[in-house]
Amino acid sequence: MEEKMQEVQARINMYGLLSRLFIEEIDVDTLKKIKENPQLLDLFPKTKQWRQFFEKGPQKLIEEELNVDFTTVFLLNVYPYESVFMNDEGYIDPSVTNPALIFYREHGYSIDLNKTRALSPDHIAVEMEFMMTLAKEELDALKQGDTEKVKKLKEIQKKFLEEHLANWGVVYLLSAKDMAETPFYQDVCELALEFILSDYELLSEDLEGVYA
Amino acid sequence: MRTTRRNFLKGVAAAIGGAAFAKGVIEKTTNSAVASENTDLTFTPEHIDYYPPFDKWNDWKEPSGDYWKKYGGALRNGVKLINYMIVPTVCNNCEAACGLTAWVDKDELVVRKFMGNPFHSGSRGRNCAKGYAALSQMYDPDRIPFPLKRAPGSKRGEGKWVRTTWDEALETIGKKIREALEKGSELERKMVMYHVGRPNESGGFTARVVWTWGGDHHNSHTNICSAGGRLGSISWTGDDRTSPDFANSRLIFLSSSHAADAGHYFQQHAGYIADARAKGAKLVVMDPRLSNSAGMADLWIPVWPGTEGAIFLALSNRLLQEDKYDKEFVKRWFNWKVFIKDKEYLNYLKKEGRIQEIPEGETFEDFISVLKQIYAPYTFEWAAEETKVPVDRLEKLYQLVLWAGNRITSYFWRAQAAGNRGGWMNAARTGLFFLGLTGSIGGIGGVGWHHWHVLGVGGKGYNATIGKKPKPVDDWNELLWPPEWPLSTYELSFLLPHLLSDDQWRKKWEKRGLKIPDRLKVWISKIYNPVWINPDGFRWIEVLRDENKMELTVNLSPTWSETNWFVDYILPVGLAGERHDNQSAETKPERWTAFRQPVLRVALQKMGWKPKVPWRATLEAHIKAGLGEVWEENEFWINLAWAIDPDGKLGIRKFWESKKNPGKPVTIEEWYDAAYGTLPNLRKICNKLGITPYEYMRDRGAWTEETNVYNVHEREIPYDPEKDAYKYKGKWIPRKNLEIDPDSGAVYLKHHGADKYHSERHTIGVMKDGKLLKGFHTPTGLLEFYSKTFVEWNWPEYAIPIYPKDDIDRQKLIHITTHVHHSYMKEDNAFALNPIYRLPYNIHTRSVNAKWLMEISQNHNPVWIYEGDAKRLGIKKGDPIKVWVVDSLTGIKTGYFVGMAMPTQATRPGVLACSHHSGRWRVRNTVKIDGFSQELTIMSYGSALAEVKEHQKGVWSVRWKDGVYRHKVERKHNDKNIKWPYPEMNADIKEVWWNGATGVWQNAVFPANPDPLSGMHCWHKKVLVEKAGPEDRIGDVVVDTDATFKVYQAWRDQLTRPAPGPNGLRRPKWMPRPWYPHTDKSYRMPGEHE
Repeated sequence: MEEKMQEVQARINMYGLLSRLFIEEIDVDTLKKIKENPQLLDLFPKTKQWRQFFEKGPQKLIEEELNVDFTTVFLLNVYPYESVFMNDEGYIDPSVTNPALIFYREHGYSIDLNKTRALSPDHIAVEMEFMMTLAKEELDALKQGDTEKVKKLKEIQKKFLEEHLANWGVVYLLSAKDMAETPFYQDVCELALEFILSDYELLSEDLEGVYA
Repeated sequence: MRTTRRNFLKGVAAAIGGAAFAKGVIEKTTNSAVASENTDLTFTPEHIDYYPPFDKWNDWKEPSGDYWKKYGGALRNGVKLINYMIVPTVCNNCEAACGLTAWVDKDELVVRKFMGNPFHSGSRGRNCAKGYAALSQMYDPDRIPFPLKRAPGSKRGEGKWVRTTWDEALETIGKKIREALEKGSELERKMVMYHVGRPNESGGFTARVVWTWGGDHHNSHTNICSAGGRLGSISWTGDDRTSPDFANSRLIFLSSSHAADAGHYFQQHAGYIADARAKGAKLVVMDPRLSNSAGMADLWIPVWPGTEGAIFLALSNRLLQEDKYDKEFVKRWFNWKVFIKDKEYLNYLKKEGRIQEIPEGETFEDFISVLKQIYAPYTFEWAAEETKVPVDRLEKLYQLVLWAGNRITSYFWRAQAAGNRGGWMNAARTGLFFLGLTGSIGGIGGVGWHHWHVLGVGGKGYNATIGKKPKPVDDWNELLWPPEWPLSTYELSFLLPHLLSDDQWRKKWEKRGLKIPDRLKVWISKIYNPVWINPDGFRWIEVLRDENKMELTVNLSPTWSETNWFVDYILPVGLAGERHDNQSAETKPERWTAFRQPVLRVALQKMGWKPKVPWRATLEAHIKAGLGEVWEENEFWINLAWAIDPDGKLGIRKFWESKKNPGKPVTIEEWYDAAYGTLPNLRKICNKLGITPYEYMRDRGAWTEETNVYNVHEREIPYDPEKDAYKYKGKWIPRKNLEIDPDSGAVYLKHHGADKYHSERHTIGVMKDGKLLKGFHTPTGLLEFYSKTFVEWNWPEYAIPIYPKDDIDRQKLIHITTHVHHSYMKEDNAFALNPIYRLPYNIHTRSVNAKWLMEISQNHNPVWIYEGDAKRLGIKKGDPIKVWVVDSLTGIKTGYFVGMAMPTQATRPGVLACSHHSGRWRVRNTVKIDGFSQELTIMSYGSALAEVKEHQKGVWSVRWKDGVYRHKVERKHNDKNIKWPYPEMNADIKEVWWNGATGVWQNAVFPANPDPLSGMHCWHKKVLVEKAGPEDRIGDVVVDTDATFKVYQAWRDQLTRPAPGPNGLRRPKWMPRPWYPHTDKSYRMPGEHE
């Protein structure tokens, strides 16, 4: 059980971290945390080989390298919104009929976009935070020994990955990775891609196995 | 990375500081009111859904509104607090059964306010105006404070009354019923009739009451209400109505209903619709009138009344032709195999020109190919022409349908189903075809069914009594169920006066061996006002006045009404907070059940008071609290059973005799403890809490036994291999007693003729992949696209969803062509009149006793007329207009009413609208009662003083003479036990700024128009409009009851196809009679079965 809880905690952490990296430009604190934690840095293999990452001071690195790349990729070219990828018209759809929003609401969550710069609730970082929120509830249920609820939450997470994040996110992350020029954002995309796919596997295995 | 991922997850768990990185844009939402867990007084709750903590309900203190005003805040020194006990009950003003709590002032023994009940998971602590108005109804100065009896020697309708006692009434009524029953003759038994308006109870307490009397006594109000809605649903599923999961729906497609502002299950449904829209759902309202729901909808479809089915079939056709239907669902749950294998029926369709080719194969694809042929003519262009809705709106609708997938909800109950001839086909029969094709049946965001969700136990208290189960009823009362309407859903209640006056009809059937009474010995009704609310009200007056047709008439009624004026006994029973009922409603995919109870009795007993006679506790409590000699029905019926059968010889008494105290009547506490004790999950929680089920319901008022009830048809029926039996309705049925239909997989009880006739079947489930699933309650256990039952009853043309394509079709399919079809509107001033929509704060005959509701409904009910039509006819706003009612089948004019015109764009051209929920009248302002020192007042605030005249036999008129009666509340009387007219609670009584009643009594001019199949009274009317003359006044009504009678006879004789059906059946056995079981013999006409 302890192990299971650790696993869910790790998933919460991963979704939280990834959501942070996609929602807006990186800040000095976050950058330092990555840089100074070897276990965390292991998740960014190309970055580890990137000389400037260690040579430039954090502020300088952000301003001269990372923000340039973030803007080029995520703000100007490959918009991180599900609606852009899934609709024929390619527009961001912030309306109440946005399917991701409907999913959140149908499962009892509302979105306060004022806390971010995201234009629409189907931003990849919001979807990641949604997964994180569900995982947090799962952890609570685990602690209370409410197996039914854990199962239900796992089902919702799996469904959300199937219908949303894993469905379009994979294509999106591949495109973004192609466009990214810094090893750091290439790693971010690669990490997100791998993690989402592995998380889907994990949920499926749990639902077919322990929670079947 | 992939192979080591799990390990890496472990690593980062420690490495990263939790979820702190994320921005926190996701928030948990909640829509439920919850009793607060805070234990302190809270006068400034942070949320509007705040409610006092439950453990303080017996003793809760709050300042009154006056104190707030005077001192400007709570808990200041010197502010007097009211000592409340919060007692739950259930609203009684409509069918939705929302929870209420009465705030009983323990010092004064009055209710100070009614609020919502947070334990009620359907209404979630919320109420509409009608709920909060329960207070003004409780202390209505017009209420009847003691039982009244027609003065000896006076005629019915003369208005001479004497005060009587409950004991005298019980004695007289009991004796008269006993005389009829003890003779043991079928004919005499049929002369005792109980007749209920809106019952507002679930689980059949009162049905059980009359069942224990032994005959076929139970009449209802169904066929002025929902018969059309029911038959369409029953023909698909055996269940009479959908239970939409509005809250999770993507497309809420209200079909001539306005649930978002006033319609059926309003407040609860409106709340769920609002929740869904907050989640992004779209609302489409199909209604000729721009109702408030339509006004806030994403799309309004201003359809011609009665043509809605054309749109359902056009949508279905598109889904089929474009292969966008839910194949998996249709293949699994439609009874397509039965249809495609019935070559005889396919040949019939070919002969009728509905299909061109019969496929050789019998596969699902062949079935679809036939559907594509049948529905190909129903194009959007055709539908636009037929319904008068622009085609682009239908296209928009179709896009929403595609977007919504299998999360579409609708509700087929009133206007289109209740307004039109063929409403049953035009609403649910075609509408459910469309919903079925989208797969929106059973799952989340789709429609479930009434019996999946409703949870009534009111009649199940028999573990508390000596008698358990009465025998099935062996009579078939033709006054309830005339042979002309074998498929009716249900009793042809609105025809009672017609049937009693029609000697020719009675003799015709007597020749066939039926025993039909020519009169009633006892007619006892409950909260029912047929004179005013039923069509052809003057016919009701004519029959009610006739002591040869109605020997003893009784109305259990808390208020005055038009009907009461013509009966022998008016027995004042309680309102929402003064009576016992168990009630549940299918308002969401949950099974909740609620307890309506007399809050003053409960409060008194909790404070230590004890009744002298426990089985009359409520009456004693009401007298003690000064409410008056107001009783309630459960206790009344129990006492009546003892009055009918005092020595037990008739075998009735034992069913109402306490097991705990043999020789004494059962008490309410005993009965409901046993009834609620039948709920296993409630029992569990009660065991945990150490209380009884009765106590749980008394204290909390509502219980939710099961949540998320979806796809019940997919549930498996338990099988025991040792017994080789299936468990059905609590009993093990051996497999050898069952048969299986190879085409549908239906498993049904072996019974003569059941393999041959669907009408004989009692199906318990349906085999799917080797498992017996619950399926649907039809002969095939499936959704019956094709109902063979209709073929067996000589209605083959209506065995599948169909709609008349053109004029020739309309002649052939006249039974399902609305009688207000636009093709009947040949005169320049001809209109279709829509009278059946609700105003949010008025409801039939239940709201006139609330001054608050009357005040906010002034001038809200003119005759809506499209402004282009008004201009063409020279009619201006406020003009009195004369509206002639013309029957489109016979051309007979039955009379006219005069209403006030309101030209508007909010009704479609050619269609008038005027709600029949207002237009109440009284013939006197007051009545003098011997032995009581003050006059009783009558319906002061919401009725007009009317002059009702019978000019010659059968020609009647009404003219409004005056409006609101302003009376002074200071009236004093000498009766020390009655606080009536409750001056303390009526401080605002003089604040009556309005004059004149709103609306006009349209119902009187409407002839009875029974639908030939469902038996529904078809409410819409063809009318001719002209400007009123100088002698006419708004409110005038003139009717010829000979003319209305001829119309009724024509509808009966020209349109129906009477019983018997196969094997002499009076009705298909799988469409059982409601209320109580009948014997097999009673289902068959004498001498006609095998």
